[in-house]
Amino acid sequence: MGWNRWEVDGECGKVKGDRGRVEGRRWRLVAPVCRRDARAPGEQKGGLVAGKLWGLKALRISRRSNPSPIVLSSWFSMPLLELKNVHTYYGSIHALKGISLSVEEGEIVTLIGSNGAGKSTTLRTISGLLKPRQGEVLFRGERIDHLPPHKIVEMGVIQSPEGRRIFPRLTVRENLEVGAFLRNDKAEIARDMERVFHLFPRLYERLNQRGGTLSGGEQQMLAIGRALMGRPRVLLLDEPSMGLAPVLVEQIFSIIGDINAQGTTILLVEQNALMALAIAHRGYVLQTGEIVLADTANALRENKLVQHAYLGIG
Amino acid sequence: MKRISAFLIFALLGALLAACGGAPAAAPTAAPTTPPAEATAAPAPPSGGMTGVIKIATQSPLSGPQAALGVGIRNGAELGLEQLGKTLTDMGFTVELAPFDDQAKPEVGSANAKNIISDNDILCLVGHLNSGVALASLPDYQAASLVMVSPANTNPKITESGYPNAFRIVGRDDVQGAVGEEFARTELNIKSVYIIHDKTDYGQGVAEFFRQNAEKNGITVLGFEGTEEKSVFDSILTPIQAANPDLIYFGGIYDQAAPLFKQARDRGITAAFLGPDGLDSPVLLEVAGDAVKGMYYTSVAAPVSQFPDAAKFAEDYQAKYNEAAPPFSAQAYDAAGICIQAIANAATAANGKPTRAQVLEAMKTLGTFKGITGSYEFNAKGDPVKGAYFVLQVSTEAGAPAEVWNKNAVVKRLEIAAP
Amino acid sequence: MAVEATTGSDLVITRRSFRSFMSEVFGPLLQVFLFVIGSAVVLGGIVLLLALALRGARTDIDLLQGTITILPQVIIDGLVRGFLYATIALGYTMVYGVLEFINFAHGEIFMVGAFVGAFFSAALASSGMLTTLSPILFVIAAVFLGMAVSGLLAMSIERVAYRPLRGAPRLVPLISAIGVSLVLQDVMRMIAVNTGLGFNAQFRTPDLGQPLVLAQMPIADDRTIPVSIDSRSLIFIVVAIIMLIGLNYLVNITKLGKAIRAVAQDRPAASLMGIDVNRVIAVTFLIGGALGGAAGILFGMRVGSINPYVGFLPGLKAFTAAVLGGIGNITGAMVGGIVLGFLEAFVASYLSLFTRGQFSGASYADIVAFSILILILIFRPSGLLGEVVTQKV
Repeated sequence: MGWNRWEVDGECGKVKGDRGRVEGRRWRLVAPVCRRDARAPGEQKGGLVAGKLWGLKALRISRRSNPSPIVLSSWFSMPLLELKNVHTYYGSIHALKGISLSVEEGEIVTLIGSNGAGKSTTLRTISGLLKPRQGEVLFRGERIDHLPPHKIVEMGVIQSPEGRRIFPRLTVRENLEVGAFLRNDKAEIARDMERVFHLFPRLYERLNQRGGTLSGGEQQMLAIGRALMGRPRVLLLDEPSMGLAPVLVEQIFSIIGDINAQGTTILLVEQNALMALAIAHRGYVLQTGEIVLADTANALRENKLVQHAYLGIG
Repeated sequence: MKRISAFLIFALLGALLAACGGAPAAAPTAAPTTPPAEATAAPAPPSGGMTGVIKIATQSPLSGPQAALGVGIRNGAELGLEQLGKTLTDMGFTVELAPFDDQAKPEVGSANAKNIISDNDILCLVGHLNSGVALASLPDYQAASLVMVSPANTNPKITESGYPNAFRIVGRDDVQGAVGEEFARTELNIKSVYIIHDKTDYGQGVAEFFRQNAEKNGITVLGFEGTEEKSVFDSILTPIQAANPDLIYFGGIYDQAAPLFKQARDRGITAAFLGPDGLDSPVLLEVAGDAVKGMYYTSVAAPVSQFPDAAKFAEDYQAKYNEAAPPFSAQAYDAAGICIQAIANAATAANGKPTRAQVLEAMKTLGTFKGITGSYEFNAKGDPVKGAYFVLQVSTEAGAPAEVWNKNAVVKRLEIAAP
Repeated sequence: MAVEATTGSDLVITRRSFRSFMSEVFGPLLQVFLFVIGSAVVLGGIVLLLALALRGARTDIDLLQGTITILPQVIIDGLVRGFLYATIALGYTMVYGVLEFINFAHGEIFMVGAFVGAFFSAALASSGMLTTLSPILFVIAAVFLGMAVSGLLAMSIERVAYRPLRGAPRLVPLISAIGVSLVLQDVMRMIAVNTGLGFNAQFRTPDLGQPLVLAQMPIADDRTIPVSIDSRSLIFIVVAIIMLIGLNYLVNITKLGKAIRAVAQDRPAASLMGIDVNRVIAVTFLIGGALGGAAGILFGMRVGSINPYVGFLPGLKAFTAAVLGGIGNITGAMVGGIVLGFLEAFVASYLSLFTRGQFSGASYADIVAFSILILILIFRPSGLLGEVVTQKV
């Protein structure tokens, strides 16, 4: 397993807002730092390794040779994705009552809750399918809640929606191609498709089959693969376990863990709290539109309420 | 759900079609093109001095594919009012024209008729162009005893249905059909004919008469078809081509005849063409071009140039409307003149502005009216005692169709008593 | 379960195979061709059987010979008629596929295309260029002009009359479409009458040649009647086929086509892919309108004289053709058009022959065609080529 690391050279004095390009992917400075020998606190699970800075600009780009999107990180833990006091309505129904949460780069954050708690509503608000009446949705510090869905996708916030929603009359290949709709780099797209097939070999077997003929589990794989094709900066997964047999669920979650290990930030919405908390770093518990608990996954697993209500223990 | 919405849409469409009778414009507009003057609330007093407004209404297609002839009728009547209205204005009345657009559609004519009879100043009507529209409107006219003088309606039903207020100065289709058939048989030596009509009262009517006479006189009728098709006649022409008739007779109007004839020639059909007065318009030549040059058609109204007394009318029409006087415009002029004369007679008898019933009475005792297209005397049914029928041939001269059309030669001229 | 990273592609995925390309682009053409043959054979067979059965009843003419004599020409008439409905139906079906909405104004967009051609040819005629222009150039120029105007018109109509109503109950935009269609008819009537083109506008063309005589059918008395196809009709069919191929290429191969299909199948999911749904819908209308405009040009060239109401009946029939073939399905639209055209042509030409003139074929062709349409919808509601999609949870 080789690691390739780049360090962006430059002098102290680069300011916030500076832009550049690496490997066809644009980057933008979100927080400048000029320090010597700084070190990030500890190693994070999944392999983002803090390293040394030598009076350089604050950005550090690391890339693995394994398929993964390029991840930009910064020392200042500005959350990659943040919701601040979001209120969303369906007509007159108050679905989200002041949600605040954040997702740091490289994490898996999970949002658990029972049916109708507002989990999917949260993801749909983030993706722009719903507009919050109050509050803000921020991506990399910028407000995105007023943008149309396709612009939000352009920024790298990509969702695998509830119920899979793969295109039934498009083939597996075409579904994946649509996932890469906004991209133009044919070679890279091809390579990403290969990576998806490495993750989900079953999909390769069904390459030219129509999406509607796939089994539930295969459709879920396709949905996730399709989302990956857009090289998301943050991947939103809406109930990937829904309607799947337990064996498949384990498979899918294992793969989700792999995807994160390769550097993708994930916000996972799940009813299956057991599996979700098993792979997540942190979690939020949502009840009737409000966040009632927010903690690390480990802490949540020990939490009595969570155990009683969602884990079936006690 | 897709299947049900498809059906729903079908149902909606079906209802829509039923409502508009399959005609192109979905909503029949009842509004006339120019607003009629205000309807008076109380009926005008039968006598009370020779003052007041007298209106003569016209109904003809002012828009749509037959507007060329319809506007001509309106204009002819207008010119008639201008030049002949002196009789009434000298008496002290004001004379106005109240034109209406019946769009060649029966339902529109009928709706307009209700508007017309509610305006009590209207004492006489010049119209219609299409027999089917006239027949739909006559019940309303009759209810108000409003006189209708038609410059162009040829269907026998107009005067055979018992409407006392229906008059016409042109001939009838039962005679016109026979005239056409005789001409075809004796002059063109036709042995077989294929008849097409447009499914209207007029077109189908005259086609029926042609057929009856043809069968009676030994011409083989190879086919009798009705169609509303206006653009593509392939499916009709294919059997015609196979049947190989000597003649194709089309009962209908020029806007439909022109593409039919043109496509027939394009296909190599060599049969002769013949039709009734609905073909009488330069638009036929404009659209069909060479296909119709030299063909014959019957008419109840000759071109303006045929009437020596109408020369001045033709000049005046050209000067005022900037185009040549179309067929039936001179007849409309005369129809307006007849209306004026009847109203004048009635006014004299009543010593004031007459009622419609009185105008109707005056029509019955009108005697002979000398117009620019001939002298007219009406029989008890409302037909002219002697009807004029013409067989014309489309000119083969080069030039703009509107001008060339007036040079169509009258090949035969007949005066036949009304049946 | 981590998958070993392998370099190099042992997976051949990126290049679309030539075979799949050909099948996606030309496959539908093959389907249309099969339906043409099939319809001709089936209907011809029915008619021949009827002729044999009723032969004895008629003494005045030989029913069988009469039937056979006009059969080839009827087939050609049906083909030409069918392609007219098919090309107009394409516009209906594209818009329905994407929006589940019947654009009732499409017949008028077709009519506008025809008028654009009439204006164009009138302008050419008055400047004296009509006779000097090469026919091929004329056709290409006219078709492009018609496509441009009609396409842009359709797109503007969508923006103004349909998009604001997108959230409303289904019936509302439908009524809006009917309103648009009426407005277009009257506006065009106003324009035509006031610009001297006239209500019955002439569509002049340069000399496009004589009809192509394909065969001579023998008939009584040693005569033969030609089986011919007009050069304009031929041009119509050729251009229609090109449009079908082009459309299939667009929809099945290009990225835009994938976007259109994605939007058609699941609109919110498509927007989650980064597809600008509004733009895709606008482009769909552009394409549908352009196809209608091209059909209008070709139609005007063929009939020679048009009027503002010329789009109503063909539009209605094309809509039924689209439903017959499976609405939302592009190939279905063409197939539906072909089948409807054949049905109409056969009934129009044969009905009076078989009923001894009691029922005039030209009058009743529509009734029979629509009745058969209703029958097919009862027994196969998704249409001839429509897919019965099973929902997967």
